[in-house]
Amino acid sequence: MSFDSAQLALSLPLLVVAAGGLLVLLLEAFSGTPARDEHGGRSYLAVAALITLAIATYAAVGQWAEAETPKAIYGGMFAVDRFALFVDVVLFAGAALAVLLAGGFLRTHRFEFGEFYALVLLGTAGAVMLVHANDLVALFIGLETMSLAVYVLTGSWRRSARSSEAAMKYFLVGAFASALLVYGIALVYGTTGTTNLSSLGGLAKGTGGAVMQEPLFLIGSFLIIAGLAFKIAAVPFHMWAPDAYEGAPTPVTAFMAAAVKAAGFATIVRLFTVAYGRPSLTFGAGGWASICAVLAILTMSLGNLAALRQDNVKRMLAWSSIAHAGYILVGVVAMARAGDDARGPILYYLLAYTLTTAGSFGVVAWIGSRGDERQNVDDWAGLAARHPAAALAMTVLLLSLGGFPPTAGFFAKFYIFRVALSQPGLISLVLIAIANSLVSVFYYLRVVTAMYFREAHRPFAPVRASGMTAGLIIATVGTLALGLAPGWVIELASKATLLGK
Amino acid sequence: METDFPLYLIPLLPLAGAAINLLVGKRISRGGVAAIACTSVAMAAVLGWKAAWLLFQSEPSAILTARFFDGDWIHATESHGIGSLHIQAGLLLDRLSAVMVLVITTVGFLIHLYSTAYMEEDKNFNRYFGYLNLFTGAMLILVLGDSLPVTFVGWEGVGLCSYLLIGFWFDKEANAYAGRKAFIVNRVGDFGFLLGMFLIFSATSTLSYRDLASQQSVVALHHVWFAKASIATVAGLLLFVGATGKSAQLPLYVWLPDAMAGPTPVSALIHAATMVTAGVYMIARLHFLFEIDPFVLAVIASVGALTALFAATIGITQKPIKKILAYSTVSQLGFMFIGVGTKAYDAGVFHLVTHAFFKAGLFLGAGSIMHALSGEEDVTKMGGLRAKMPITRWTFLVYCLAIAGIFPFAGFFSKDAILAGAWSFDVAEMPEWPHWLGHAIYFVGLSAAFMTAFYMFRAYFLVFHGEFRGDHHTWDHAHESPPAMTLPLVVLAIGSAALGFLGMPEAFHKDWNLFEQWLVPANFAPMVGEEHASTEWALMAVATVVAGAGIFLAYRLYYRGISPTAVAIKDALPRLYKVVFNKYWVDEIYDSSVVRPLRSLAFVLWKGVDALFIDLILVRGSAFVVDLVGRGVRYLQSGDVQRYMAAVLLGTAAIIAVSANWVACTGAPFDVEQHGADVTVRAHGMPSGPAARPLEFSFDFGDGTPPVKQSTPTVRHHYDVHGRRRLTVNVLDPRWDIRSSDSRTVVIP
Amino acid sequence: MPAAAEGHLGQTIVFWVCTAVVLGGALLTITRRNTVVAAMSLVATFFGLAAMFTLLSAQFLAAIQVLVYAGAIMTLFVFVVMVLNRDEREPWALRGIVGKALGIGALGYLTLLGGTFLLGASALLTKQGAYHTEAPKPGWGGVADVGNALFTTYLFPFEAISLLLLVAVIGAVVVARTVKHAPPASQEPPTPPAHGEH
Repeated sequence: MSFDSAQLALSLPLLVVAAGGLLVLLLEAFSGTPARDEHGGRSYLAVAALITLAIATYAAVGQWAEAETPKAIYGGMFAVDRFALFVDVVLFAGAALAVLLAGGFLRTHRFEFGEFYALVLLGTAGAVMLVHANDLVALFIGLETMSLAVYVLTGSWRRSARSSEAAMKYFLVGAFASALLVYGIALVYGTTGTTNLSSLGGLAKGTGGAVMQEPLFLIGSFLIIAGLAFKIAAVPFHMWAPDAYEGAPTPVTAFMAAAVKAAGFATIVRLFTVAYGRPSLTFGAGGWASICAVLAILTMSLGNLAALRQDNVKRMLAWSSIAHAGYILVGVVAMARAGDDARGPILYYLLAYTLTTAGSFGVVAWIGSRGDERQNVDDWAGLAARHPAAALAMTVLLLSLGGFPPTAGFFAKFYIFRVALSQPGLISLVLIAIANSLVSVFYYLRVVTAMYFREAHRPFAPVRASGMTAGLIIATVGTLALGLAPGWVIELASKATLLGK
Repeated sequence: METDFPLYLIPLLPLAGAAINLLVGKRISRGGVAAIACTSVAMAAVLGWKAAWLLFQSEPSAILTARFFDGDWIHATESHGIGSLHIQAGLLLDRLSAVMVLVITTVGFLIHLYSTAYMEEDKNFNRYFGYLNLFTGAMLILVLGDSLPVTFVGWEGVGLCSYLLIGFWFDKEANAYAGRKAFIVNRVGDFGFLLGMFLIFSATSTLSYRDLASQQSVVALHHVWFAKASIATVAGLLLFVGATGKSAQLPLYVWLPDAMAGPTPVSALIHAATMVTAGVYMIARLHFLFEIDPFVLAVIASVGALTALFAATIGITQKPIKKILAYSTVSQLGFMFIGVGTKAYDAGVFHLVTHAFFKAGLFLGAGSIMHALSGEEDVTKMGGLRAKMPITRWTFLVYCLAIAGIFPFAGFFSKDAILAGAWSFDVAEMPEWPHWLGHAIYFVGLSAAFMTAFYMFRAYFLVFHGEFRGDHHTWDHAHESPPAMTLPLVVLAIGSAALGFLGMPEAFHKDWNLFEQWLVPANFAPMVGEEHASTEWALMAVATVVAGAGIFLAYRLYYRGISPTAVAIKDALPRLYKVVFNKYWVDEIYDSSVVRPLRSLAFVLWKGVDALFIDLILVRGSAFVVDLVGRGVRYLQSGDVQRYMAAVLLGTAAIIAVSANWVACTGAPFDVEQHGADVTVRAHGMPSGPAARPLEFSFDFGDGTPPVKQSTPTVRHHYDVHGRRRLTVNVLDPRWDIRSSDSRTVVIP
Repeated sequence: MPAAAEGHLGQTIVFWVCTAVVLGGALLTITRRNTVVAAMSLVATFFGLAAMFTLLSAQFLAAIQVLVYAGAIMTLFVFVVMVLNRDEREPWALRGIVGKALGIGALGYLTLLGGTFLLGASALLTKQGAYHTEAPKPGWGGVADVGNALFTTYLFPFEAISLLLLVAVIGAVVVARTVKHAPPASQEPPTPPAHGEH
């Protein structure tokens, strides 16, 4: 195998983001400005990061037509298909929102440093690698690249004890989960002799598929599932998430909740569809769909019930993002039966969820001032009277998280539930999901009520930064636009091809 | 005709204005708010005229189309035998919607302008203009929509704005109540609209107007739904229910008089000129659907005629000027429905246009009067204002002449066209209806026209002639309104005087009915049963005489204040007067037949369901569960990393343990089928596919025979012994080396 | 496993000795309070692992294990431990003993289960042919084989690892950088360490 230009061209989104990350890293070093100035002056890095993401998005969109027939490059390690490209764009959107939010936040809290933007881009590159990975080895390396960057970003607010604590916890538990994952990969390789997802899928179809019923292979698969469930924060692999989300600098939380989760789900979809597509591996003993169904129920229910009790808006959103992972898992379960039809709804959900959740964490980042993060719901009282536009944006985003029409969140849930309902035997799962989304309305509306119907007890001094404003507007308008015109996105998403199917 | 004309800008401009005024209007000066509001509508008007000009230059069937965005707006794949749904956020400008766009933007602009002065002192200036712009945008979406769902977005949007603006001064209880009433009554109508839409979609798999008009869809709509009613009949009636709600027809008209609680320019724009005509527009737009069953048309025409007469009688007795105008609007809308119901679509739409001008003018005039009299509404407390307010007086006179139908004012031509259409209404295809239906509708309409002339001039004489009947203080303060208010009055008066010539009847000259010529090619069938010129002349003469009689009667009774004769008539018929004055007690009837029973039901629901079930069981119960889970989460979520890792391990171990034991444990339970001494034992097999190593079953029958060992889950056995025997099934999953067993006692006879 | 599969007594003995060294070293690493002793125990574990790799005929891996882990990384560890010179009495939390006990139980279960099936797998290899049975070629596990795999099939992951290492380096720099210009105390928020739910 070699890296010829055709293959390089096909992996352009990855190369652009990685190169952009290196460039941003060098840019600060060679810019000649007093780099250790605490008071900012690094907007050019954010702009460079945004340009990189825009070019990468352009590259991904440019490959859309070509990727209708999926290709595997780099010796079958790297899949180029529409599914991956769609998720790429979602990832770039999440990263761009994080970058937009970061400038103002970092400056306000006085810890802006140039490597931040480079790490966001390199982490995104890892996520892209993960999403495209058609081989367990590439998957692992992509996952680790993404995770390492995010660990560091989580702990980057050095003066905040919570940030360091969050990073430590995230790192320790994350390393532990990675160990499980890599052990699982070893077992799968040991029993089947391959790490390639397509080969595993081929094995499942042929006579060699019997090995996939054997305990050693199944244990390996379960360990892989556990490792990935950790990344998407599914209960009971979720316990790091509330602490890490709360402690991390808020733009990083937005990145974690949006991009990292999207990449995790994309990996799950690819892995289960390509390698574990055989019907006998889906439901029943050791079937991934049965496991996912249980995880989905636990995740939705615990996420929502725990979110109900939170007074801290950021922590509430963290629990809510755990609950959302449960809803997406319902889609993953539906995928076991509905096959390709479920992929569109999952992709739509990922896009809708990325915009919405990044936006809502963005408002959390916006509202705080230096020395006062204002995360308690009481601190949000009376926001509508002083800052009606921000309150409106937050309301739209929360309604979207709660699944109200005409926002993106409504159609995201609608499509997922509909595809699940079209398959026999999943009604109870959907009913639980619907009951859960009803419960969730309560804690989302609690914030809305505070913003609109209560008096402010101290003045607001939110972050003033044009990048942050732009990010919030993009997220809110995007959420509304996706909800008002869901048709073309779901149409696009349902045309997403997947390698090896 | 496909051009890249930016049609979508027409509704988007006012919407953008609304967004600015509502979001940041508080930070902009009043002048800025007014400028944004007026400019956005003016720009929409310019674009509308430009688009209409493009249509005018093209061939008659030309249309302009545009989309808010590419791709589908609503998209659903085929399921359960109903076709796939592809709805685009598309706009369509043909000659019919062009007329509507011009009316909305032009009259709308004048009313925006008027409002800048009228609302000058209101503290929620920006909110008012935000809503007004929002309304204009929604109304434009309504008329420009190229499919029922897009129209419905506008339909709901204008309903929302109407609610917001009726209750604009919501600090007064009655206003908020009026807003709510309008909203709820409209919801009843909207429900009909939605059902009609669903029914049409289920039959034709499309909702776009152009596709619906195709031969294929019309054939589909002909299908019988149940009994003898076709889909078109049922859908048409359902849509008409929607129209009666929005356009205030019997029996859903009750919200409109109460809607006068809003600011007067709002009444002029929403509740006279534009929104309330949406029902008429919708029927004209879907005329091909309503024509499928003439029965539906006859229903529409009859309801229109009855409403016209019914509302006119109430109008005679009302005292607040805005109430008179409100009932007059209901009555005039009835005329429009007569028009579209008797297939005289161009006449109905023409009356819609002329009415938009003179009724908007009347409301604005009323606003000007109230402005001058510090908010006084009662006409019996006015009088002699002609000296103080010359512009308002002369323009008001023009509007009154127009609405009464005096030649050559606009109302004369449009009302005449409607009455002529009713006269020649052909009921030959409808055996259910009497053959004289058209003539009956004509005479009902004629009586309504007589009353219209009477009550309008009653109001005119009471306001502007005679002596002032209020207190001196008010009289001293009375003044003519500022130019921003009088200018729209003058423009609307010119329109009310001159617009009629666009729709001159064919009796004058064969080619002079420009309006009909403009609309007929817009897919309207040419009018059937065109009357002879002599009949038309006769009808016109009768209408003029009747209107003149109405005016004369009003002159005799009210020219010098309320004459003793008027009082005498009122006293001579005490009961009748009371009934009519109290608006036939319709509100009270609705209150006791609908509202009160619902309230009682709500009380029961509140006590039974809400207090007992929801509060006690759901709320307290769920709070208990939440509390319990919260405690659990708090214990687990201790911040202790080792514990987090333990959870990860436990989760993994649980997955493996359950999976390992699952097959064996679910494989062992068995069913027994017994026929005497023969038993068939069915254990459960492996749920998931074949494996390299299948399950190993061992059946022990408990009768001393050696256990049967095999890899299939079903076995038959014949007992040679009698009595109770213990049947045991052992299962071994060789992969995981896990065993499980199940046993049961059988009785052998 | 080659020990069990081929039944050579010498190999079996070496295998179990290595196992004892690896597990004993690991246990000492996490139980010794003297950090230098703990680090040295880890070195023992690494050596045991290297010996096991040799048993599995992965010579290259064994050499790397000794060079990189036992050599370079452990030296660094010991330096750090000595430079920091931390107090030996680390606080030891006994909170959540139930959760930890469950976690340890789960770990034990996983180990036993995994061990059982790993040991059982060798029997399967010969008996049922259920697992991947391709036997290693003679001389497998040498530098040439590893190099071949790295630069052909696994070239992409090999290159991608450079990115991973780069991120790790940047991360280390970011985390290790001293916090400069601590802002005035009045403006700095008191950020008490989180202890989960409040």
